[in-house]
Amino acid sequence: MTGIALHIRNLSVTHGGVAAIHDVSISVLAGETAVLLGANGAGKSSLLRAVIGLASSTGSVSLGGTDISQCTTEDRVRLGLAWVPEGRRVFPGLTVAENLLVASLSRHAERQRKLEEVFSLFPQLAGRPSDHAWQLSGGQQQMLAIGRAIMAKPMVYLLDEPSLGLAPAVAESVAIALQQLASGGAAILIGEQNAGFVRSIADKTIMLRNGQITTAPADQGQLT
Amino acid sequence: MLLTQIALNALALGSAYALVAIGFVLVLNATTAVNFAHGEGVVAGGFAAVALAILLPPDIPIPGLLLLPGVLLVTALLGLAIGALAYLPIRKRPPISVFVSTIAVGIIIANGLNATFGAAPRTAPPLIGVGTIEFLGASLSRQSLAIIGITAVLMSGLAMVLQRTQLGRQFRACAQDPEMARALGIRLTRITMISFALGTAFAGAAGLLLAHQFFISPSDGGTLILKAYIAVVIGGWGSLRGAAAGAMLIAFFEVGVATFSSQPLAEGLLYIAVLLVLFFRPQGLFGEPQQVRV
Repeated sequence: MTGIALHIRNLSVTHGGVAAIHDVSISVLAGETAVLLGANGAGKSSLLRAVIGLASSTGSVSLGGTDISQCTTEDRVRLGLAWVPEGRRVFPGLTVAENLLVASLSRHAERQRKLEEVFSLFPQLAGRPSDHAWQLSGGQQQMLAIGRAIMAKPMVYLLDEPSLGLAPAVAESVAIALQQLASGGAAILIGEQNAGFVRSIADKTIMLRNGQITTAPADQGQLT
Repeated sequence: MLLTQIALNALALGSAYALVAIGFVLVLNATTAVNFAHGEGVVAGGFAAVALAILLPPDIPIPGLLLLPGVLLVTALLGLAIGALAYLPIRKRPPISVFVSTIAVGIIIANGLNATFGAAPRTAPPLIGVGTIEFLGASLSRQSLAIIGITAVLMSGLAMVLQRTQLGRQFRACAQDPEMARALGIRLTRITMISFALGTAFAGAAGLLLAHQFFISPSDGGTLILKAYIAVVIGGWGSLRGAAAGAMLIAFFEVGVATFSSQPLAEGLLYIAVLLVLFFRPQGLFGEPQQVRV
């Protein structure tokens, strides 16, 4: 699949009268990994939350050429958008397998097939299907959160700070998994402040500062 | 043998209370709001049994049991109506709005029942006939055994749905993190409405179970919602297991302690136990301590 998978046009988000995102336009092609690079408070999370429909916004969002700006979050997911939030937000009281299965929108046989696919991508999870999510390490929880997104077979992945709090080796495993998803044709938009993490996987880097895209390099002192 | 009968009666009453409390928690977990019309769901179940009993031919040995599917259906529909009228339109307003709206709907239901059936207590048919069964020298009430059996079947069914089905996983995911559940494509409104239907159906079933032995009147909703609330506070806010355990504890005081002392003393001791739980284990017997992220 080629062409624009995600097209964000003139997106603005306001929180309590303060502009968190102002007039941002971004396109991500199928198979491409785009990175929103910015320091804390730059507006990365706000932008990603607006794209998935959890924050109200103006402007438009298109998914595979279909305008989804008026769609609910649930419908955006069903149309092919997946969100991996900052802090993972796995369901602690559900087991690893349940966390994955609950995210599938397919029928039973397809659910099981996707489950095996996630386990082959993240062997660290394969041996712990019955463990509760709260029992996992931070890195394993991040893998679970990404695996949960994979279960819905999305066209576009939105990831918010996927390397946050991860040991370098674990972050590398996550980066490799994201590369595999992109090589499979998925479009990936990552909000990240760790430039080192995304350097090897970014096809395109977009600098975000104070809610706006800037052509100037990000303040390296603020980026880790 | 007296102890066996007391234990059986306490277990039967606790079972019915457990259905009420579990229904209460199902709605609580899906909405994070308290449904104060839940007690009227119990009352409506009792009166649905009274009304539907007219349709049964005489001399049926298991009249109450035959009424159960009808009572579940009627009260599930009532739950959908409560959700649609008292919750969905104002779900984004502050929680106090839902408190008031469910209280209002509860009063409407109680007054509707009062106008239809009158204020006098009514009784539903027995579940599997009247009298006792002799077992190892003890006389066991048929009604109490039936209440325990029906509760066990309903709870096992609920446990199977929650643990083994996609709908159950969605229920639990919504209870733990509703926003994240939405962001996985789970339709929160659908889960919420199913919770109202299922929770009120459980309350209605409890109404049928209680209405033969303990009678039912339109104004009983307030007392029943208080019992459910206390059971959930004792067991742990949002915990299904805790709600069942809390309900059993209430019944232990109301039947067990009352038999050997008096009803007022038993009630007083129950509320002392509630205070002790609040003082020494505020998260309830099965609840997790709340942590605040600074």
